[in-house]
This record gives sequence, structure tokens and C-alpha cells, in this order.
Amino acid sequence: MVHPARSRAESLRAGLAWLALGIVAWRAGAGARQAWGELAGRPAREHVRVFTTRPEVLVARQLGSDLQVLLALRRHAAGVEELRVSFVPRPDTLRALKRRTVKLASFLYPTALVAWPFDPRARESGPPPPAARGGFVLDLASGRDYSAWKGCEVLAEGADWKLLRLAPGSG
Amino acid sequence: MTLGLLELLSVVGVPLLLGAALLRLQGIAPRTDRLAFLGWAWIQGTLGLGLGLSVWLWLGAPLRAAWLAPAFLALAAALLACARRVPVLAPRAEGRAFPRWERLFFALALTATLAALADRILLASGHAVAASDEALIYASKAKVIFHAGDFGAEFRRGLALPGFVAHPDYPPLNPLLQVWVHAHAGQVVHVENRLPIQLFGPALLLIAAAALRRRARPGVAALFLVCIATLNFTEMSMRKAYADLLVAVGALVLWDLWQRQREDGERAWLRVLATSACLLVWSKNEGLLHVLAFGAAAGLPLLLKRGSEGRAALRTLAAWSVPLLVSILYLAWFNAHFGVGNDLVASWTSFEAPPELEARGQGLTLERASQRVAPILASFARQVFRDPERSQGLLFLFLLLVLLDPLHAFGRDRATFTLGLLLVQLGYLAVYLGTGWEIERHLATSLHRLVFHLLPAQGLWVCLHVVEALPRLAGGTRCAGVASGDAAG
Repeated sequence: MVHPARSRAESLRAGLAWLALGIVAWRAGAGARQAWGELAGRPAREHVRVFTTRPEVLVARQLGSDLQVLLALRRHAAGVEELRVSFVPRPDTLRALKRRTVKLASFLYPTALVAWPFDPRARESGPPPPAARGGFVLDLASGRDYSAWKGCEVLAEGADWKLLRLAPGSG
Repeated sequence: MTLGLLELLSVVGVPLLLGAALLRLQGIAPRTDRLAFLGWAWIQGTLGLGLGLSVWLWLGAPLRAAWLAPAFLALAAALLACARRVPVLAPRAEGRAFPRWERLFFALALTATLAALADRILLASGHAVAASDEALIYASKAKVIFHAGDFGAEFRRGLALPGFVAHPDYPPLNPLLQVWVHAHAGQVVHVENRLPIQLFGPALLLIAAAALRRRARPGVAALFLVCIATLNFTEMSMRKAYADLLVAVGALVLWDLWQRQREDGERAWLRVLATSACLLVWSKNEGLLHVLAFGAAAGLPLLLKRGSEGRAALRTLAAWSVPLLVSILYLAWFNAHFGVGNDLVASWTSFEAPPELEARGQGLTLERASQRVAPILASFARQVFRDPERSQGLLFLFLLLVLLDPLHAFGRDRATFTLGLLLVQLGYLAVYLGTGWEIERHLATSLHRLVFHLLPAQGLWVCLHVVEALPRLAGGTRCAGVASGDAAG
């Protein structure tokens, strides 16, 4: 004869197991429905885009309007080791700015994008100190004044960006 | 696509052949477990590839597929020749016959989930790798390695570039697998480099399918399999080449093989466990925590055992740990050599949030840790109870069953498994208590990943609990022992 306490424990155990199986079945059904809805609901061309689209076109789609920035950088600053990015480190725009620079950096390496934050309240801010150094600068609407740099040249520009070359020793 | 068909075949086929050869050397052939074999082969092959590429890079040999692929194929052939006399572990014999409809249901579930993952890989391939952690952490490091061509001064310079490689201390398997793809294209590619990482998705499903089917009847195994396949992060891992999927696969294979060894007593499972567990430490720093938790959970009962039996078992465990220990030491030395360290103690990089948002430099104090308990528990509770598609209820069920049925959860056959999973969770809790990051931000960006690392293994654990409580739902297979090498061919 089975002891009543043991029998209760066995029943509880079996009940828990059925509960677990019920939850797993529920979640499996929900997961399958969700996956079907997500995958079957997409246009066929999305599923085969990788076979029908050239990699350059995929990159262009990914960059959107920043494709112009990439093309300008490749045209004017190809082979450059380091390119400074001038920006205002505002907490509300920093995340979007980071996404933007990560995208550009992904396609530019081995050219490195080096942050050159500009604080409009201070005369200058953040490393690296640019005074004695020239080189290429991608200005992302930072509002930095480049007039002090002798021989500063704007190589290309768009709505919210500017590619400049600064002469060394100026500024 | 940049790669042609032949190159794609090489990208996938060479690691698989290398993995199959490595498995054969350890006494595992396709017939040992037809479902899991490809998954195990992918793990072993990619680990072999990662190790081989590391040696290649240290030697400074040309990073071209025309050299690399034949070298790895020759290695696979040599391993197969060495493995001719190694006895093959025979498959488990089916002890019970299940209705045809139920077996069909399982086959359909496996096919459909594999097809869904394959479709997600295709969808993801319509986007270049240029955003989030997959670009910042892994693809960036792969680019640095590929451009440098070896682990020399150029590689060191690339790692040190401000803001380009995030977390340069992360283990190198993911980037090395991307380098493998770049080597086939002869240039940096931005789409196909995800493929070797994405293929851990199908590997996860095959290993989970085999593990579940071995223990549960087909209908029950199918339900658990669909749950694991439709986990939010399993699907997301097809879109993004993160290393979290590798940790989840590593944890599942670790515990599945451990349980197999407990069930069969076959040493071949321990051999494969010892080598496959290296996936954890080669993928992400969290993997080391899994390995330590496993070591503690498996070693503790042996330490408590008295006499020569306990000492012998401890010696065996230590012997099996050699590949892991070598991996851990090499990776620690690698980071020290290049002067990179864990981000929890490193300074903030460019383009990161302003430093005033961070809580760095305060040191670990009891007071600070105690202030963090509430937000950590609240975030953890959200993972357990809210957003069911994130954990598919598996984390909730694991905790519920451990809490309400501890006698069986810590029973003879599953105590190590249960303890190991709990220790990993406690380890993660300790990391959050001591983090130098602002706690809410750290939790928001990482907790769902850490929870995912354990979910496939927790799915297997819940399945074991269910079939032990309800024997009529069990799979009913039994071990057929080891066949001779000659007989196995």
C-alpha cells in the first residue's frame, strides 16, 4: 500500500509536469503562429534579396543618405589612416550619432574614425587637441568654427555634413 | 553575393568535414546519433577552424582560402586516418514504437523550424553587417585581423583604434569565423560573414532535437523543440551575428552530453563534452562562467565523496578539463599580450555615453551592491513573467519546478544539472552586483542575452523533469553500447 504522503507528492509532481507540458504546448503554438505570421507575411522579394541584389546596392540601402558621405570619403580620403569626426556630444542625439558613425566605420576600415567632440560652450573640448595637427575632418553639423585654420578646404558637403582638409600647423 | 557557390560550399563544408573527423577521432560517427551529428560536427569543426586559424595567424602564413581550405582538408583526412581504430559509439536502440502520426509530427516540427531559421538567414542576408554589437564587437575585430594578416603590430594597432573594436577582450571565435569568410572572398565582405555564426542556429536545433527526442516521445519532444526554436533570441541570432547563440549552444551541448554520460556511462560522451565545452570559452566571457559553474556542480559531489573512488573521479574530471584549461590559459595570455581587458574595468570609449552616466571607479562596496539587489531582481522578474516570447516560459518553469519539487530536481540523476544552471544564474547576479556600469543600463542591454544563454539547456531540463514525472511521455530508448572500430567502418 502506498503511503498517503508519498501518493500526494506523486500527484503534485505529476500535476506540475502536466502544467509544464501545458505551458510548453501553449508557448510552442504561440511561437509557431508568430513565426508563421512574421515570415509568411513578407513579400517574396525580401526572402531572395541576397540573390538578386549586388552587395554594393545592399550597402547603399543600409547607408541611406550617408552613402554620399561614404562616397566622398572614399573619393577624397582614401587610404587615410585617421579621420576625425567633429560632433556635439548631446545625450539626446548621441545614440543616433553612434549608429551613424558605426555604419560609416564598418565600410571605411582601415580608415579609422576618431571622435573629436565639440562643446559649443567651451572654446575647445575633448581629445585629440587639433591645433597642431592637420588632416581630414568629417563635420556632422557640430557648429565648430574652422575659419581659424589656414588652408582649410571643404572637399565635399551635404545637408548635415562637411568633409574638410585642415592644413597641419594651423589653427 | 560576393562569394560564389564553390566558395560558399568551402565556407560551410570544410568546417563540417573537419568537425566530422574530430568527432570520429573521439568515437562518434554519424550513426551514433543521426540528428545531433551535424550539430556536433559544426561545433567541433568551427572550434578546430578557430584554433587552426589562430596558429596560422601567429605563423603569419598567407590568409587566403586557396591555402587554408586544402590545409584544413588535409588535417581532416589525417585525423580520419588516425581514427580508423577508434571504436564507434553505437546508436541507442528504440525501446518503444510510437504511432506514425507522432513521428511525422516530430519530423514536421524539426523540418519547419529548420526551414524558418533558414528563411531568417536569407532575410538577414538582405542587410549588410553595419550596426549594433555585431558590427562594433565582432565584425570590427574580424576586419582588424583580416587587414593585419597576422597577430603582429598591425593587429595591435587596430585593436587600439579608439572606438573601432568594442570589447576587444572578447574571445576570438566569432571574429575568426568571419575572417574565414573574408579569406574566401579575398576581401572584407559585409553580408556572407554572418553565415558561420548563423549556422549555429540550425546546429542548436539539431542538437536540441536529438537531446529531446532521446528522452521524450516524439510529440512531447516536438513541442519543446518548437519552444526553443521560436525563442526571441534564437530568431534574433539569425539576424545578428552575436556570440550569445554560441554560448547557448555550448551550454546545451555541455549539459546534454553530461546527462548522456550519466544515462549510458559511456566515456565517449565525456570526450566530446570536454572538447565541445571549449565553445563556451572561445565565444564569450560569460562562457567561462558556465564552465566554472559546471566544474563546481560536477566536482562538488566528488569532493564530498570519501576514499579512493572520490579521488579517482576527481582525477578523471581534471584530466577531461585539459582542453578547457589550455583554452582558458591561452585566451587570458592572448588578452594580456595585447593589453586588452574586460570592459567592466576599462575606461569608456569614444562615442559612448557621457562619463557622468557611468558609475565607474567607485569600487565594489557592500552598500552599492545592496542598492542593486532590487533593480536586479525586478529586471529578472520581468524576464520570468513578462514578455513570454523571450523565454517561452522555460525559465519560469525551471524555477517553479526547482522550487516546488526540489527532491527530484536535486535527485541523483539531475542534481549536477540543476545545481549547474542555478550556479550560472547566481554568477550572473554577482556580475551585476559588482558591475562598474550604471545598473539599469547594464541590465537593459544585457540581461535578456544572459537569460537566453541558459534557455535551451533549461528547456532540456524541464523536458527531463516532465518525462521523469510522467513515464508514459518518455522516449524509451536504450543504449546499445560500443561497437568495434572495424565493424563500424
